[in-house]
Amino acid sequence: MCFHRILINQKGYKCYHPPSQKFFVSRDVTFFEHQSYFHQAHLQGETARNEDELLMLPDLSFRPEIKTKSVTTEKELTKSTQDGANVRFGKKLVYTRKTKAIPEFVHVQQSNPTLLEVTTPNPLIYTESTSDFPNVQEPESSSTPLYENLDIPIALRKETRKCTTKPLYPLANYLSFKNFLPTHKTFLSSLNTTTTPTSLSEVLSDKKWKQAMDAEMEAFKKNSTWDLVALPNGKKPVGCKWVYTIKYKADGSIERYKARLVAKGFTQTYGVDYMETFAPSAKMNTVRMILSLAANYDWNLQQFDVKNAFLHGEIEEEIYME
Amino acid sequence: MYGLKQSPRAWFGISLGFKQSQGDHTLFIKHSKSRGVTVLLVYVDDIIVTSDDEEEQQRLGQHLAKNFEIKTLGKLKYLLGIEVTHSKKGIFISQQKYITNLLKETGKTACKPASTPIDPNLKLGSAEEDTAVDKEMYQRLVGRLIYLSHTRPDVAFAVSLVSQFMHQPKEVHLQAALRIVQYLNGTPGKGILFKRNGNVSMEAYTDADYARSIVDRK
Repeated sequence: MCFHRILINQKGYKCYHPPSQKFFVSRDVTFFEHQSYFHQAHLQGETARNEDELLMLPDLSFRPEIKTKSVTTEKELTKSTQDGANVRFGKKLVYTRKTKAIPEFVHVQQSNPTLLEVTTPNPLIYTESTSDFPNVQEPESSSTPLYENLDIPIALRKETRKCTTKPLYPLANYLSFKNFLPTHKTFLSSLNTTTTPTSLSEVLSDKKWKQAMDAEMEAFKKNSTWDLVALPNGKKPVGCKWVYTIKYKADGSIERYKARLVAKGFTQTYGVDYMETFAPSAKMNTVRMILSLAANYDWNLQQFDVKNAFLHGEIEEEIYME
Repeated sequence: MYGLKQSPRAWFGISLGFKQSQGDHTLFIKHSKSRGVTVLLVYVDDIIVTSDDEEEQQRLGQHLAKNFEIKTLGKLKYLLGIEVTHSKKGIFISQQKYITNLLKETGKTACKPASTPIDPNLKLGSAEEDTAVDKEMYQRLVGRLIYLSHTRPDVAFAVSLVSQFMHQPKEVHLQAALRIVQYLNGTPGKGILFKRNGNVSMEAYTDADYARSIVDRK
């Protein structure tokens, strides 16, 4: 039995008897707080055969256990021992499967059954006069074929898994380009066929990426971004890396391959490599204000776009890049 | 150099007598001797220049071209996803293209347009019991709506409501957000018109809604 619940409107605990899957109410209940009703999970393949095992209940599928009614006196306990049941902790033990003894968790002592408003289901309770405890009478020799392999851990009882060679649920069954616009289709399919390189050797073997890198280096030279020097002692260089991107046109076709050398600015330390940070993004309110001014005063409104925007910074601090 | 902390400083070295605004550090103003004003605004690699001093503006253009590799795009037409059109009445800004993309992405292109951005009787709460929706998707959608409210003040209130539940969006919130999208489907061409009326005085209005919020009764 297990799963007690305190019922507010009734004078007792609601108990559950798993084998018969029935509920009943009893006032006389003993709690076994240190024991878990459920099996502690063993590691896969581990054969658990130790003393603790005795205190553990098997899974819910064990055979009906015995509830005794008013089996509380020593005399009766002795009697049940004679019947072949185990006695443990001074309480009546219910039946065991094979060699394992399973202590009863809750010993229901319905010494005063008249108090109970809900009568306990009949099959659960054996009356005092019942001398034949069917389960108890067959202690160790009760290995019926049904329970034969129950001692093997569950994991071993299962078949080994087989790997399926082809995917059970291929993506093609669920994804389709059908619903996309033609322009999106070309973009998506080109996404699959064109990839940005991940390694330097991959880049060097590809002409188009090499061209893109050359263009970037050219821009550096033109802006005289750096000088090649030997790293002075005590200076820490800032790392750098190439970032490759593919620029797409609005219709999804490839516009150009772009390579950009970026410094790993996150390795810069405040006060050493830089004193201030800059974020040149305008507030939208300012944009609106300017537009409003231009409209009201009929000012000429012009727009410029800067190529290689960030190559033009004049750096006051010295930065060494490796 | 990309990636360095101080790279964007390039902009702040522009001299030519421009003064940096303290209200917005990307705004530079120059008052020329001929009582003219030239205003320069920088958004990463986009620059807008407006001036009533033709000469000064030309000089600035040349200066920029000399110091930076620059593409002169002429009259302002498209900036940060905002379309700018010039007419006799004034300057009109809208985000029609942005709205079209938004409708496409949410699959609402063919939906029935709603007449209002939000159900007038809708009171949004945290709706704990409601089913949760994809948070990232919701945040992305509301984020786009927030950007849209730059040219669409008519949805700004509804957007401010749905943006209160970014941390734990539920089905009702998503429905409210999609309702805004439905409203946009009916009115994709709306925007702000800056009228040419010469009135540049500032007017402010405020309104408070007493205890409407079902979250904190504020």
